Amino acid sequence: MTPRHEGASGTTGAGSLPAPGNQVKRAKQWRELASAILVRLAVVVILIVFLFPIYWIVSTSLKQQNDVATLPPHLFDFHPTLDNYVAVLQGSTTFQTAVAVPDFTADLLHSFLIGIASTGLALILGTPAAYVLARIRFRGRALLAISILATRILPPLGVLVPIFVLYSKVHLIDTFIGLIVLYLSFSLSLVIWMMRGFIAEVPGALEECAMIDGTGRLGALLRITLPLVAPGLAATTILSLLFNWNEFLFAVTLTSQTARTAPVAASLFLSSHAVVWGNLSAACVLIAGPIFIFALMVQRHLVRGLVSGAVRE
Amino acid sequence: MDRSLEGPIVVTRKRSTRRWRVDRFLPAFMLAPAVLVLAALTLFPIGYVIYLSLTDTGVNSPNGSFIGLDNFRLIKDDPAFWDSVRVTGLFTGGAVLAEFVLGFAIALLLNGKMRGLGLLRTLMLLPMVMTPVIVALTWRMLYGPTYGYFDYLLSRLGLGQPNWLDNSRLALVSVIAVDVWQWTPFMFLLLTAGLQSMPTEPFEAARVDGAGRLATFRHLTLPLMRNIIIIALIFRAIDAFDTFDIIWVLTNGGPGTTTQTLTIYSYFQSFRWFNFGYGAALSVVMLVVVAVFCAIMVLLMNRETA
Repeated sequence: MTPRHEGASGTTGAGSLPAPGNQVKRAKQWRELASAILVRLAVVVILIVFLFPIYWIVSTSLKQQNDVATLPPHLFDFHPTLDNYVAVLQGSTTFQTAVAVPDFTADLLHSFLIGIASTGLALILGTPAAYVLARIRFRGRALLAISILATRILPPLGVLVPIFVLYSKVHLIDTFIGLIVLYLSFSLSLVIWMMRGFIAEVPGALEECAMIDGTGRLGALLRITLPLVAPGLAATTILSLLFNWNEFLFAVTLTSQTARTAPVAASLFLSSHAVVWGNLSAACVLIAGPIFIFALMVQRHLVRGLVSGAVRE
Repeated sequence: MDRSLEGPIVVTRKRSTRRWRVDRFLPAFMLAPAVLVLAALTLFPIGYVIYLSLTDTGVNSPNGSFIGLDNFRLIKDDPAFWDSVRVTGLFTGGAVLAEFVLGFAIALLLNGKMRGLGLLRTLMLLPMVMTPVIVALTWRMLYGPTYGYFDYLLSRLGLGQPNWLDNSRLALVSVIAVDVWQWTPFMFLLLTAGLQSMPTEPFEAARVDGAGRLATFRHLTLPLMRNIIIIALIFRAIDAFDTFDIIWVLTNGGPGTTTQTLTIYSYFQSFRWFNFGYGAALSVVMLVVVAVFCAIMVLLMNRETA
């Protein structure tokens, strides 16, 4: 396949009539038509493969218990109900279990608060640092930037083991502070690298103009650059929230009840004797739903965020 | 002091001196808090994990005594460790390779103007932003033994129930498939971005010269995409190497130890058996592996620019 595949635009010979002696052209037209159909077919297959599991969980969350466990599975023919959501949010889940999830609403709230707090702190600390790394030349700048990026690729267990031992000693296990501080360290490097890229895209000449007109560097940053990178700031905020929201390893190890986050709660549904898949699915949708909405808001920056600003789209 | 000197000029100079001072030290003030916090939150754990790896900290020895490199000697002769290395290699290699090939194929297939392509790219984002735990829970339902959808499909075809997650020969493949589902879109989007940032002139020249599709791909697309391919592969490899959530929820390392990667094994040592010293030593090994990954990336990318 050529990298510049023309798709179905049918540019060559689009207007040509099937005149005698034009058989080569006609063959080419047929080939293009065939490839256009194949591409569309492939698109359909790709969409089914990547969206079916999402449809599965959403539809299961809307099913009554007797529609969940059926053969053949009821993919479309079921009576939708919000019972599962009510049960999960009210804490009246119907499964029999030793490890109950009595207060899923509280766990969602924990996730939300921890995400907001660590992201907020990361923005306050990280944006000024990103500005300096983008604008000011000093010795060791490149090395410092790379070191900050390197913190993102530390194996989580390399951090988790010492943090757990430390937290046990200073009684930070199962506290908000404990998780916020950890997530701050993840968010901070993300904020610095993302914002460094966005700030570097604003021409420095704009700031110099403002500084000649009599404001200091801080004034130039606050009045000129910051408003210009506001979309980037928003994207970075959402990405940081998203990563914190999805985090599981640290949350499951370092929290048990007081600061338990939503993904941990969802994983607890499995430890029951008879998993009520409808309830579990509703919990899953409540966790993944906000993420989907956020992701759609920042889709242009998402890949860039996932590789910590190592590439620009 | 001669009052006549206090003209506007002097005042301006004073003010600009003060501003010069502020501007001179401002960057340090802006940089320092973030760097200090980050240093504290990364250098401390690294230092502490290395220290722990040299002790026998654990249930029997809460405060741990120094035992030198004994943990690493134990690791060298630990069959469970080597088994987890093998599983990690299969998981990381299999997942990243499949994601790369699939993602690149889809990116090439759809690299053109077609209506609805933007929508497709948007929808492809959904798997990769989905909370990994939720992804794993969803797939556990799909893999489920009685009412799972895959078993239903196979039974329609007259094939047996393979026990996706409980079959020791299939479990690793089933887990890899979930990772491939979640992260192929990442490869697709990243490589699409790469394809679209390529210059068009060389491709026009190649077409004029009558170069075939395969030749164009090998001699133009691949070299031009080199850096982005390296970034995609290494970032994904590091991520796959660290994978915890998906395996934890899907199989918990089982059946037996067939899906027990280094991450899972290290987690068990530290948090199931509370051998923090040994677990820390395993973490140090992982730290070194990731450092090697990164060194490879830097070397490969530098060679290209040189």
